Amino acid sequence: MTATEPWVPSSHRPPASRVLAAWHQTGRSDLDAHLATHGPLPLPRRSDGAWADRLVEDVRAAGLTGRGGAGFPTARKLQSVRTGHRHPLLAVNAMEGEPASKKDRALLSGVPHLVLDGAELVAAAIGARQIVVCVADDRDDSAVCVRTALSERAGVGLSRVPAQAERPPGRYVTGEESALVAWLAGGPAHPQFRASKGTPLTMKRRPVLVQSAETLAHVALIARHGPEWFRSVGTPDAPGTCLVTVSGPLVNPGVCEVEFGTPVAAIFERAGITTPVSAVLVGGYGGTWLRTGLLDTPFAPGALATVGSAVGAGVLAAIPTSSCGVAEMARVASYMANEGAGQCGPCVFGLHAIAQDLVLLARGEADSHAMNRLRIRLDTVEGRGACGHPDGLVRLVRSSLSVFARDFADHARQRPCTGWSLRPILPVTPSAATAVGRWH
Amino acid sequence: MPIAASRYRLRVNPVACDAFGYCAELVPEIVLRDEWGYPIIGDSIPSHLFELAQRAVRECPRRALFIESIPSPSR
Amino acid sequence: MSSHWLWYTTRATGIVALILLTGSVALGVLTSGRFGTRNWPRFTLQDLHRRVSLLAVVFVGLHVVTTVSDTFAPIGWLAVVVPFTSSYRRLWLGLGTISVDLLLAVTISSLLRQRINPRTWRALHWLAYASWPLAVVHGLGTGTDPHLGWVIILVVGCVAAVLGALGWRLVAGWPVHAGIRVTAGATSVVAVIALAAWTGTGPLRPGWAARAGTPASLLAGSKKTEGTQPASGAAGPASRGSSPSPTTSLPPPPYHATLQGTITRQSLSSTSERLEIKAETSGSLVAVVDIVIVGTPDGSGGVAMQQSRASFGPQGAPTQYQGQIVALDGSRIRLSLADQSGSPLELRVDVAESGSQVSGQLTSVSGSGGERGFGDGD
Repeated sequence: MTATEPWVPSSHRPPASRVLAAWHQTGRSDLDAHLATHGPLPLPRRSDGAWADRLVEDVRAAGLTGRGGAGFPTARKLQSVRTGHRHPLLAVNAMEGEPASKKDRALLSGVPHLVLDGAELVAAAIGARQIVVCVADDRDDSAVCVRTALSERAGVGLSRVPAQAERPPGRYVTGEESALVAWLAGGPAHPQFRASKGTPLTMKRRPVLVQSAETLAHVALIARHGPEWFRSVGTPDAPGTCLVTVSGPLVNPGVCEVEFGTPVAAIFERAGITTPVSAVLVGGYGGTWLRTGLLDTPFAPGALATVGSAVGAGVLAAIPTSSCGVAEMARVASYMANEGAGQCGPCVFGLHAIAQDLVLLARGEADSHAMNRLRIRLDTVEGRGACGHPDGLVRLVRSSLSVFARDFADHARQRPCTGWSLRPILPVTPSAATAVGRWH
Repeated sequence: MPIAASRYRLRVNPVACDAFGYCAELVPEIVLRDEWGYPIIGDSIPSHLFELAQRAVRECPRRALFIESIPSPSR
Repeated sequence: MSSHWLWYTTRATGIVALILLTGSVALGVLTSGRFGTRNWPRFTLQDLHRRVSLLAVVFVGLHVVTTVSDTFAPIGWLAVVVPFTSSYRRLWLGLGTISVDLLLAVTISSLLRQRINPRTWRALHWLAYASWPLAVVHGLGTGTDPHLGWVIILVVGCVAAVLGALGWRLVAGWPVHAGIRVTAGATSVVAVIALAAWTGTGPLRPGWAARAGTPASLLAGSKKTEGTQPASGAAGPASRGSSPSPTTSLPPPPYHATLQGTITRQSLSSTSERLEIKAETSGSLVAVVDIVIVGTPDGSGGVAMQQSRASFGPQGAPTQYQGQIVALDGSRIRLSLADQSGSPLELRVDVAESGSQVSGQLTSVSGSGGERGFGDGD
């Protein structure tokens, strides 16, 4: 792996270097570098129930929460699949459906062995007999990294459980857990309707544990160093570190590891802001906007929740003041409208209608009822899909209405807003971008 | 006369629903339709409408409706 | 068992079943297109669709049972479910069999709807669409009544109803599948034109019964004379008439048949006697002939003809041809008749008396008009 990949800034050494330690210290991602940095895999020759209990307890004590976006306590998730009679399947979620996130790519190309260590440990703890590493079908380089690492491990007999890479379709909604499981079971990658949230995911009656790649990396470190070490950084409520993808008008955009509790502004300072910023997109395209006045909020689940935000997928995308928030939202909304599974009427029609409203507003072609109509539609669509996809966009659009209130007011009155730059900031796939067309 | 709310609510599986709208015709007191024809369902089934709600569940061409008991507030 | 009422019931239930099936298909198309009004909400139309369908199935069942029970035509129970196994109009009946098979599949799957895979149910229900056109063609091909005006109007009405529903569905449907809908619309129009063309050149033309595969034994006439369905004329417009069992139409000439009947004499006055010969033909031609001669008796049992009147026709329309005697020589009678539209028919009747019974022969004479003497050849 070259060290010039833009998303892993090797020239920039963040203070926190746990998950990315091997990459930062050696600049290599192979097995030797990994073992030299972290030591051997702490998996006993015979992993019995007592060892599994200890590992799960360590994870619980460490307070590790899912890094995939939901932030669910990992120990509880592990425990929920240990109770069944059938051997569960472990699915590593490295799908990275968020266009603005690059951390899965960073993990797989920089420190794949740490992720696979975590997968091996969790598989042993839950009694899984198979590991599936899910890499999107349009991320061939990440798949190559995974397969290379897997064959390295197999070469030295490090793989206890058969593991292979799978390539589900690279759409936004495929990263949703139930969609991934549906695809693994042989069907289309569509989220499944579950009458109650807690229903465990199964594939032909085998329970499936879906864990994001970063979470597994943290498990691999907790198994080596223990929960107290894990808690030695971060905050008491949000211990440990987290990978974030910072983007925007920065000197050093890319993936970096931050301790929970670091103020968002500090994260951007380290990354080197070059122009004034109007707001920051936090979490992902299902997240929220943070206005500049609140950028000293600590980056941690609890603190962000007080300002209506969440960690999400660790996306921190800054928008320069020269850009137009309405235009950015129009592009993101069009993208999200196209990226649903197309199963639920309110999501299919609602998100498209919301995107249309935003496009008209961005173009300055909206009528006087546009804002009202948009708000009503946001209320109508929320909560009426089978998965969280529509809710995420609704959340993002609502927060943009308040953070970019002035821009929206200008556009609604068909007046030019303060954002004059036509250069798109937030990344979306090309097909969705062309659907929006020109504005301003 | 106060309308007694039962302990049950109507719910829809949005994946199965194809906006036929029989539910909105049978129990318009509980089910409204959004601008695209999909059901917006109220919080609970009034007791006097329970049988009609059951009929709506039976008649749904996609079998998308179901009745469940309202979970008691947790935490 | 073979009697009128089985045959009537078969035809009647067939027609009613077709109407009900039409209603079911039309309602099905409307409900799938989410048609509904304030007074006819969608769930009501769906309920109606189910009930009409069930009623249609009942009438189809009656139609099938009476057809099989009627031993006149060789249709057995096997032909009900296995297509193209009956020797009566194999193709057209077979289409009806396929229609019944599809109906059975739809009915059973709908009754078990809650328990079977929704996709299976959907697929079977789509197949049911084919059941209706098969029933229409079956009715036109095997039915004995297509030549009747009201039956044609009925079939046209049924096709129009389904076309109307389909038309609404194609026009009012969601714009997403425009390509499929245009194709479906074009296919339907082509199908209806083809149906009309086939009906006009097939079932509505004379001779359809033979071309459709009615067994020869039925075409050639049956030995039954108890008022059961007579055989269809060899090339008549329909294999059976629509009035009570006797035919209402004759096969085209030439006729050559034996006669059997009665002769009655009635004295009108001292110098006038009325003779009436009523006879029926048997064999390949089943008709009645009625000859009345009024004249002066010649003392030896004959009369010198002064007036005459004659009629000839199938049992159901015995006075189809009317006219009079143009030549009388002993027991040989030459009749010149014409039907209501003026088509002429000349018959030669040779009878022999024995008491009040007569027997003889009836032969048609080729050529028309003109009074010719005997010996012109036949």
